[in-house]
Amino acid sequence: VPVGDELIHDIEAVLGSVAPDITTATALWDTFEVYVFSLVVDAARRAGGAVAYRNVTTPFNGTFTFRTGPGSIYSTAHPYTHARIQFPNCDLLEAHVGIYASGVSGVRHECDVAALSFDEAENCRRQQVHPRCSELVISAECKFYSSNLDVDLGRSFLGLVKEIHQRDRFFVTNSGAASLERMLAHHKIRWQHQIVPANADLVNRLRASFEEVFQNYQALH
Amino acid sequence: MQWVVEEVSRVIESGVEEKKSVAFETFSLEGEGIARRGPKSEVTATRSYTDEEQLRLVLDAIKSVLVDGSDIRLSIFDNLAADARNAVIRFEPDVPSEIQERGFLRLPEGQGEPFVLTRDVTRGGRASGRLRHAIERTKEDVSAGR
Repeated sequence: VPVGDELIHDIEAVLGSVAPDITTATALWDTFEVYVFSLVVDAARRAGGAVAYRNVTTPFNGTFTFRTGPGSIYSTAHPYTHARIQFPNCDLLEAHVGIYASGVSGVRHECDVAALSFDEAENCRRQQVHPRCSELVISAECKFYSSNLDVDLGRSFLGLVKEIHQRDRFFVTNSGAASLERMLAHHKIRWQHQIVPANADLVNRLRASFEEVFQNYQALH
Repeated sequence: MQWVVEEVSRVIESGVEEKKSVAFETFSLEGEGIARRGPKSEVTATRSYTDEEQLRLVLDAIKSVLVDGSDIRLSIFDNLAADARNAVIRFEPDVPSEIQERGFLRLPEGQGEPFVLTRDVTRGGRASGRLRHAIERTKEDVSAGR
């Protein structure tokens, strides 16, 4: 099938309008994690929470700093940003991007997006330890791929939820793959595919799932 | 953008998983099939992607990276800092800067490299909108056999 000159011209136009360093695979992985983080923050607001941003070392000044790879919640290598979420009459929560948490075996695991109590987070910062997986209110594994996902990613996530508990753990991707989704659904894992802004219905569904978690948190606290 | 080609190639090499309904048989020592009673079993098989499907995978990959990627960057600013026109989003590796500067940590494919997003990323919005339409048109042409 011949591909038209117009299509090639449009591809070149987009490539010419974006900085090359934001279209690398890893930059898109990092950006997608922050996108899912922004949906968690938005869900918190919609569920009645007041959101404020904090940097780990300095007051928040309008510049967000996130990690390009997993790191420690207590790291001060850069002024990493997290969100503080306050629901009425509830303990304060925090939402983070790319932090380690301790699994049930004691091994550390990366949580691409995580929400946990302020008390747990502050204890971890002061004592230089990773949060306990039992204290994670939400954890999301985020996968940005240009094509269909390999079933290996689902197998890894099944192993991860054995370590960090299954309740309110999400597998979120911009892509999808029928076999992977079948496997996750079979094991009653919460997942959402095709999460990109153009798919408003699916994005709303994911955000509603996060809202439901926050609603339950408020009911239980 | 070589990584996009590699990801699509990996998917094409893996093939498509399909459900098939199969009537399993019992075999005699001579290799002769003997029909079994009972319903057919649903099992999984793998086939190769057709040329048309391969082209669709490439088009979808381009859309994911250039169109959806642009939309995602815009949405982050809308969700996190709708009121802050000058908001900046920095991405930094979680290693002390003195170690980073000495270049001790060389990760493959630029992994861990710092980068910055600003609202200027919206500059790509119009171009990515045109590209979205061009991809959709091409897919329609492929479906119509043009």
